[in-house]
Amino acid sequence: MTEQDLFLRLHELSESDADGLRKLAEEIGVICREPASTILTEWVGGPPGRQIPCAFVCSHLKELAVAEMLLQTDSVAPALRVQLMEMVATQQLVFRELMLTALEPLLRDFTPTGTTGLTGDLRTCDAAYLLVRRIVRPSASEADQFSSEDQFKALEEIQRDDEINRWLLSETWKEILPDPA
Amino acid sequence: MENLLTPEAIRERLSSLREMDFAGAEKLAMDIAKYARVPLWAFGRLLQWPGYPDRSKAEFVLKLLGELSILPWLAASTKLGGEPRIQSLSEAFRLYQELDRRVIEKLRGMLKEQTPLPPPDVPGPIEVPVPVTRECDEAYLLLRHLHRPDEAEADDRRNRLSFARLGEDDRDRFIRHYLDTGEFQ
Repeated sequence: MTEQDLFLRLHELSESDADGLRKLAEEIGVICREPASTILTEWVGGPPGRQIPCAFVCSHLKELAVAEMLLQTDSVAPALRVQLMEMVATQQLVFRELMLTALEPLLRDFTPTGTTGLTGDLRTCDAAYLLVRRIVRPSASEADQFSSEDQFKALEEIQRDDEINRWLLSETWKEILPDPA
Repeated sequence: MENLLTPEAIRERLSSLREMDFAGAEKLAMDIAKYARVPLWAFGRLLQWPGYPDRSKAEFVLKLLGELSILPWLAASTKLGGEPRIQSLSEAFRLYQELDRRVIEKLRGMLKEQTPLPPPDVPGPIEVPVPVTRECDEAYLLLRHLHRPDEAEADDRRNRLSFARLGEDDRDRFIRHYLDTGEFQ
């Protein structure tokens, strides 16, 4: 399926055609996941000499292999189940790192989002901060410096700025994304 | 783009690889990913236009693709501003959280499994034997790693080794404590 094929298919389907959209999602799912499924089947059932290349290919397929690896864990030997779960967990941590990298610059973006908190408009930095805090738990020694989500939403703008600044300077955050300066 | 990597073609490429041919294996992975990622990158591009007429249909399809949609939403977010950017990141987060839930559920299920795992295949003599662990021990260590992903690598390694060297009863106690409290000792 090319990019043009996809755009055309989407365009031709009506918004109310849930079955058609589901079928498209299924086709895309097959395109994305079938190769990893083939590799995993060979890994599990193929000759022993194929295990190393299959493991190597699977680890390089990253997000394309996650769902298939999770599926296979039900039907493989314990050692392989552990190996598959290690690969899944590694990819999960890659997703986490990518999300935090995408959120980091927004912690200094004061543009209003158009959504409202208890004390007025939430800005991009506020929304980004709330997402970051759902992903990262502060270290035990710093936990009491930061408010819960509801408490944060109830803060005045200047107090939210203070908290975000404190977060950016915290050891918790610096250990994840050290300041390049 | 025609898909030349059918399951048969992939099996053929795999069977022609020697066991340690990592360059060949990497080339195969790249060829697979190049084709398999086309629709995902197309979605990533499409989502960059908040006013794209077929956007709601694209969002419907992406919801059905689960964890495959995380990267398209993240890619789109880099080109958007304001509320649409936050919405993209929130959607990526929602999918990430959903995957996290599945992974943790699976690992918690493995905490019941006591089968000893074969020791790693290390060629030649070794000074200190690698401790034998069970499936539940490895699941516990993975859960701990996911719970403390920012722990320094050296600390994580040290913790893994000291846990693996504990007796089975002590390891069971750690696992029970996690199951009872959701916390790691």
